[in-house]
Amino acid sequence: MLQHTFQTIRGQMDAFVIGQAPVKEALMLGLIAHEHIYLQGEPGCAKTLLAEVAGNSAELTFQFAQLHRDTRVNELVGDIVLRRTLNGRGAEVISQGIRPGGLLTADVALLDDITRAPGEALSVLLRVLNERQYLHYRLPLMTAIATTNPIGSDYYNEPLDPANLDRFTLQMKTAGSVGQGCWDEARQIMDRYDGAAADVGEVTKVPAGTLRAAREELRTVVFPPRVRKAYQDFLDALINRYGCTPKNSLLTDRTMLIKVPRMIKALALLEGRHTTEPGDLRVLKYILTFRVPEHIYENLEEILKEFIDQPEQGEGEADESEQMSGMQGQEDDEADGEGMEDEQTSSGDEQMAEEIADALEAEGEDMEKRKPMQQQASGSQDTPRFQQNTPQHVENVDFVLEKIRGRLERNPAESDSHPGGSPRTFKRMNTFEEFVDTDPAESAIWLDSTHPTLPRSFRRQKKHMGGKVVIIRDVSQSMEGRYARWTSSVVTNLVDLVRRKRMRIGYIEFNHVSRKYDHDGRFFTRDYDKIIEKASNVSCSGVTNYQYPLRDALNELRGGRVKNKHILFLTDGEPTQGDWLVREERRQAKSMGVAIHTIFIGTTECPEILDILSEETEGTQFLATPDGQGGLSMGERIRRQPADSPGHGGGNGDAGRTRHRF
Amino acid sequence: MARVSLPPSGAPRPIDPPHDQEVSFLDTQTNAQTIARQFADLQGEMNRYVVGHEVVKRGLILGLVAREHIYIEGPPGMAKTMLAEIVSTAANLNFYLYQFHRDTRLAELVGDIVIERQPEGESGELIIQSIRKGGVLTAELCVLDDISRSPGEALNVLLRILNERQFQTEKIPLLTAIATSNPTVDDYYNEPLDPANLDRFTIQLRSSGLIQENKWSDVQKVIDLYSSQTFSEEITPEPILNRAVFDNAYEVLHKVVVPDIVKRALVDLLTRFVNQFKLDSTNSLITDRSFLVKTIKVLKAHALLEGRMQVMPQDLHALTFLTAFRVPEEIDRNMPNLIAETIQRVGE
Repeated sequence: MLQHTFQTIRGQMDAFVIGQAPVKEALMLGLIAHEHIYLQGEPGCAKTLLAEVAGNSAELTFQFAQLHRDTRVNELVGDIVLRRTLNGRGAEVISQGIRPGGLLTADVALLDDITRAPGEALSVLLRVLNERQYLHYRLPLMTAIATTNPIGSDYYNEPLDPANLDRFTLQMKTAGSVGQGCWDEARQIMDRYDGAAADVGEVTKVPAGTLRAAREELRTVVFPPRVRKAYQDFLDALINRYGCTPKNSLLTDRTMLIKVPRMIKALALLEGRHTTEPGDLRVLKYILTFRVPEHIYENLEEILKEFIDQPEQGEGEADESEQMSGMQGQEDDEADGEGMEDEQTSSGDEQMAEEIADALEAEGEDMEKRKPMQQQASGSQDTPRFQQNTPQHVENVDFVLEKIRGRLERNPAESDSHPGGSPRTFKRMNTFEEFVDTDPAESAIWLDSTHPTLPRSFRRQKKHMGGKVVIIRDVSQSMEGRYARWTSSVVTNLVDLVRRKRMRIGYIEFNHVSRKYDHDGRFFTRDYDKIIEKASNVSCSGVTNYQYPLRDALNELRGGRVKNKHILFLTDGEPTQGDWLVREERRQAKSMGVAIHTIFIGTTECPEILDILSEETEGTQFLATPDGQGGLSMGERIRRQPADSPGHGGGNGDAGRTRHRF
Repeated sequence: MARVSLPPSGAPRPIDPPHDQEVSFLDTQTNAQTIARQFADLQGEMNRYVVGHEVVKRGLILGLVAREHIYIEGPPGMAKTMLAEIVSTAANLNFYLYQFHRDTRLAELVGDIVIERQPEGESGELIIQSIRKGGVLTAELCVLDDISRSPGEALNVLLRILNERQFQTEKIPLLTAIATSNPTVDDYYNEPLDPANLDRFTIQLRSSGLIQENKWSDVQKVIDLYSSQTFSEEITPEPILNRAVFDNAYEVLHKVVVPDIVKRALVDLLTRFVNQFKLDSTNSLITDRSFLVKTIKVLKAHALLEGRMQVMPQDLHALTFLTAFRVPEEIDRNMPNLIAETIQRVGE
């Protein structure tokens, strides 16, 4: 019966969307286990369509919420009701309630473009998604499906709060058939939609009760100790071998200890088994997507293999074959001609069998395969260790970071008026749209006797997010050795700072040429770890040219609506090539309002042009000198009182400027 | 209107404690042991659903006995809210839970607005605005979930109420407020409570996960518990205590004796804070209220929970439940050692 339900829903999805098998499986698992799902992917890869089909495939109340940047709580939970009643003494009681709607009445909800909503607004979801409770309402909500575009420079969205992200047990990254290079699928899609319109209204629905029954059934699935042990060893390895920390991962007890075992059971149930087996750990690929660092997620299958193929193999295998034959029997009973489903399961079996065979036949080979993995893992642990040591290498780096942080945060204002921001203070109401944000008592009085002075409403403000930072780093010959290491640790710290402000960052290395680093074809990124990785592996050669990297950076910073633009310029030497005074670049930086912060590293005198760069663009200036004990000490560069020092800065308007002590 | 959770209606609330009236005439020592046992049961109720997290559990109980507010901070999914809810249900007090969000309104926390109009003079009208009490104003115990997510006006008023335990001129029945929060780093859309507000929460607890703490035997227990076929997913703690138990405990608490040696030890420790570790207003929050007045109460509660009517130097370990966000982190981590040293020094 359950299998039939699963097949029907899966069949619906297949009828409307070709390919995307992993997303479909994740959606099935979410519906079975009543867990929430988060889908992130490029626009137009059928995220929303799949979610709609899944949501409509059962006789359940399905709610579609399109989130946007002004999303208010009411749009998620229903309209505000103001009730005015008289109490016994003739006084008026004004109570505010809600007429349940949206998430409060839905069995399945689709939160489309969830990251477009202001992050703060989503805090109302915390309890709704987790406890399925809002105020005193018990919600019927089974599964919420959230979709979003990638969090990146081109989309005006904000990443989900980790607390909210953790409420979505299942997490998937999707890509279109074209993006994945699945040309067969692409052809089928064109055939499918050639002339025919997609209409989700016409799906066959399974009875509402069956999905609830699936959830009940889930409890009866057996979770044997060897599966628990395999999973627990895997967790142990994530923390102790692969270096997952609270800083780089989101491994919460709730998800990892309570929800994951449930999802493992759900996978078994989906495949028609009532006992879980280590192979079911593969469900983790739908869970860890945004919970562990990317390089670990990419190798997840490889990592999992070790734990799935643990020693107790002999006994386990017998179990498995028994289970398989059991399952086959079941499917024969329900031979409903759903070919798709059969193919799906059998291919799953094959895969599993292959895995087992691999493990048995090539145990030795497997061991070898594992070695590089471990090396890689220890390599990845090295990076954080290096970061931790940083403060010992570089003194006062915090001081510098504080200064720069001050500048990064010093925008026109700390926060701006924004319709999706937090209610802060009261202001006079300007338009009647703001009426929902007024003080209920005041608006009630105003309604009784209208008056030219409007009631007060909330002033909503939002902290500035975003902004762009380019780190320009000198890799000329003179930076070789200790200087390179120091600069790397300074860069690491700077990137961490930028990460905290969630600004987008670009990275340029230069000597006599400038090398921009692109990430999937984009210069600005929020993939901070990649940048740190890059900054930790440099080779230095060549001479110094300031002009090219600055020009590159300015070209990248041009345009866009972002006001907050910074260049962090790290170098140890004077320019020896190109325009030493970078006149054109300075002019551009000034007119674009880009602040250039310069950090000079070394014992020689700081080139005057660096001071000029910083001062003209209202940036800050720092100096890093060896402290004589193998470390580096950082401080602010202070300008010396004007003194005669020809030879620099001549020939332009800055002739009066002087060289500086550092 | 906004009341979320009531004690199960119809349930006879004051289940007569075995030592109802004559309780205060009994030997206080026996009474202390009874109280210790009652609150151990409360912890037992938490243990049914939550494995590990001993510090948070202990802190919650200390706060309840001493009638002090409690603040728990930690990443998501660490059973913060769950523990607060279990303890609230099991305590069987009039309980109010509120989940903070960006648009939290004052009315949701304190009750509905009442407007009264009276003619005033010839053509004037007097408008009196008041509140029909609800929410925090009528609860004996409240859980303020994710308190740092609503930085607006409502929070300010709430914290003032919590601190003064009165609204306008009337006392409120509140015994303890339990607030939870995620860490205030920029990933979370929340804002830290300012230090003065944080000081209102006497008991401060930092919660962290079993996985990240490498507590693998606990991890195993959690997985086994929640994946077992017999485990019901509904969290249904038994309402095992009642108001009389709390009132009795609070009355007895005041009779607990604090000997001179403990006071000397406390002063010794505070002296070290200031002189040796250079703690001052820039890096810490060492107020007279918390460290001189409230600490004594917490020490007494600690002794009482062990069934004693006298505070002993080892009760100073209860200080670790106060320091989480009041002193720099490295000192907080070192507190057990500092306390042990102090006890030894005073003993000599």
